[in-house]
Amino acid sequence: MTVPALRSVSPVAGLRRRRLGPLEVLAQSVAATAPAAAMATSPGQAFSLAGAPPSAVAYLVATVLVLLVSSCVGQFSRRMVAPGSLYSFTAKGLGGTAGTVAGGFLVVGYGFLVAGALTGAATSGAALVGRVLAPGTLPTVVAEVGVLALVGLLVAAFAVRGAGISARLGLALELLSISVVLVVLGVVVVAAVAREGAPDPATLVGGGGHPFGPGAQGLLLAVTAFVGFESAGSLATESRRPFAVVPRAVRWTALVSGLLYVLAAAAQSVVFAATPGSGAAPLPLAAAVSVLSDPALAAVLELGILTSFVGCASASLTALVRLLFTMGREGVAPRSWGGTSRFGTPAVAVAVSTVVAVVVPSVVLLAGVPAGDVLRGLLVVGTCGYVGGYVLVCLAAPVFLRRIGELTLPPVLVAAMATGSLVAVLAACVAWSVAAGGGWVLAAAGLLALSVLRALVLRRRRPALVARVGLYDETRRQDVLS
Amino acid sequence: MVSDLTGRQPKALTSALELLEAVARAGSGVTAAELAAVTGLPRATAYRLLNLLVAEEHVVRLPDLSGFALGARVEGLVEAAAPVRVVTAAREELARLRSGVRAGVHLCVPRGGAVRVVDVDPDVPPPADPARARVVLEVLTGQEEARGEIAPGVRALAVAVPGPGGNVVGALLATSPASSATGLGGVADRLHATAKALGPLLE
Repeated sequence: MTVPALRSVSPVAGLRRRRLGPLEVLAQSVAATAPAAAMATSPGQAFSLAGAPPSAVAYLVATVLVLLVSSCVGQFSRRMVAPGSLYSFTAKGLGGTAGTVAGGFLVVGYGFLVAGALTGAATSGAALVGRVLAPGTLPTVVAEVGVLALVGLLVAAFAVRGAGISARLGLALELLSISVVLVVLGVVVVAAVAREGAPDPATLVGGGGHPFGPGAQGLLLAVTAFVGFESAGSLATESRRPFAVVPRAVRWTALVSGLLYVLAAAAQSVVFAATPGSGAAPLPLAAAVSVLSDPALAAVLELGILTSFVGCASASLTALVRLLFTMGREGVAPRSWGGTSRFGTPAVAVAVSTVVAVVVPSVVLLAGVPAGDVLRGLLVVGTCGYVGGYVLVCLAAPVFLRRIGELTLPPVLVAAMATGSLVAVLAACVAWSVAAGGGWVLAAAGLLALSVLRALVLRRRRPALVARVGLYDETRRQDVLS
Repeated sequence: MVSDLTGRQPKALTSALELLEAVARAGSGVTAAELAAVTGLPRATAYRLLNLLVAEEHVVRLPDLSGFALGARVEGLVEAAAPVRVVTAAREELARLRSGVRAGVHLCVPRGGAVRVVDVDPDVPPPADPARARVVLEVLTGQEEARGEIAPGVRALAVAVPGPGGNVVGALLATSPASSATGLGGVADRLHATAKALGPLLE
């Protein structure tokens, strides 16, 4: 029996090892998923897109799908600790080239989610500013870009200062936001029923006969509500007992968010059936609340959404910079991105990603694209990146288990079901987008194709580098009984 | 709770301990499939339990991700349980000290995260457990000397036993009734002298 050489210094040295408790790790997944913001905005977006009230069935199916993905991710996170998370996992299963592709997909996913969350915060923040100031004092777009830049700076500061500081506060605020959204939903459902009478059960299935929307975009939007649930993995190095804590955080975030979404979608199918005009607003639910109830309640809702989006931006940035950090350490991205600050955080990666995530949506907003469209577009592109990453990591799971000699039948079945359904959703969305003449899904497809191209070019130019990607936190000499 | 140990759990506990034992026997680098074969457990069960042992850090995965080894956490377990032997030379030092002072003298050492009392004065048994005495904990966590009461009416004085590397390898504790005329007055210097001599002998 050969005993592999053990290092005494981890390849990810610089990050603070074993500092965070289970609550902080859970907070990362919950904040990145931002259930409160998703509950309040995702069904509304499905409504604006499809023109028919959203369907709870889409969210139920998405929950099952996401739990399958969570099971595949768990095969890795119970066995290895990697700040690059899905990127390193894919590389360990499918090899360096596929890993590099997954890395590109995930940069698109996390990057667009950061930009999307900042835009979401800007939308709700600007709506709040609009309630305070007299109409016409400040153009909406100026308020939006201002809030966007401000929140961008705030989350960058959090990301440099370290994950542990803000995690507990973020979790508490998210729980508060979820409660606010639930209460508001309860109030408006009662108001809608009082106005329109008891809803037809068919309304709950919704979608105007297409529970997943005309091209499965309803399902894609439902999956969008979950993305980020896997991001606890990015804190594995910094967590105590990561093999126990990380898989648990990922599974529970997916399960509880799913239940909340099904509830929220069912409620909103009733609400939007009573307020068909609200689909045109940037935040359809807030518009519906203003119609059905008190505008003050809409303001409370916007505050809840704002908080949740800030948490989402912060947590997604935390995950994104650890991915970029890993790539920097490997040499796939500029080496400087692999540096850490005196707080034990990848500060260079934070600076680079914040600038991009603030500038891109600001430019699009200033170009006159409505905030609601920008938000949906960024989130859809981000989700396509994530779904691409999920497909690869699900494919990688059984291959990885076979490689280390621990393959059994159930993981193969789970991976096959997860991959099959994710590919079907993506394909249906792309087909619908092509038929509908372009749009954000095609922009996403272009970015994903670019990621594949980049991986192939890298493999040709620097094969040794690509063969080595998938850095993870190895067991050190001092972790083993000697 | 006994009621928690129902269904498959007692079996799982036994199997997990069997796996731990198998990892210890096989040595560093043994694979999950080999462990399943050695223990006779179904493969899926063995893999699940191994992942639990890894999650609790009793077992670690080696960098190739397929090999297992005992984790550093087992080291704490072994250290905490193993008997601590005090060499004859050290016992003689203690006997010399005891014959020279009118106080009970006891020796404590830190092991596996706990305090172990390794030598108790046979003539003056301590009125309370020295391992729980505040003065002992104080010197083991860095103070050179600590004074206080170990039980109502019993004074206690603890001094640190310095190891060769400058670290603290033990605590020497003297106890004496507060009513005693001599008390612990002149004991400190002799305790420190003996502690210095004991240091190299305790490693």
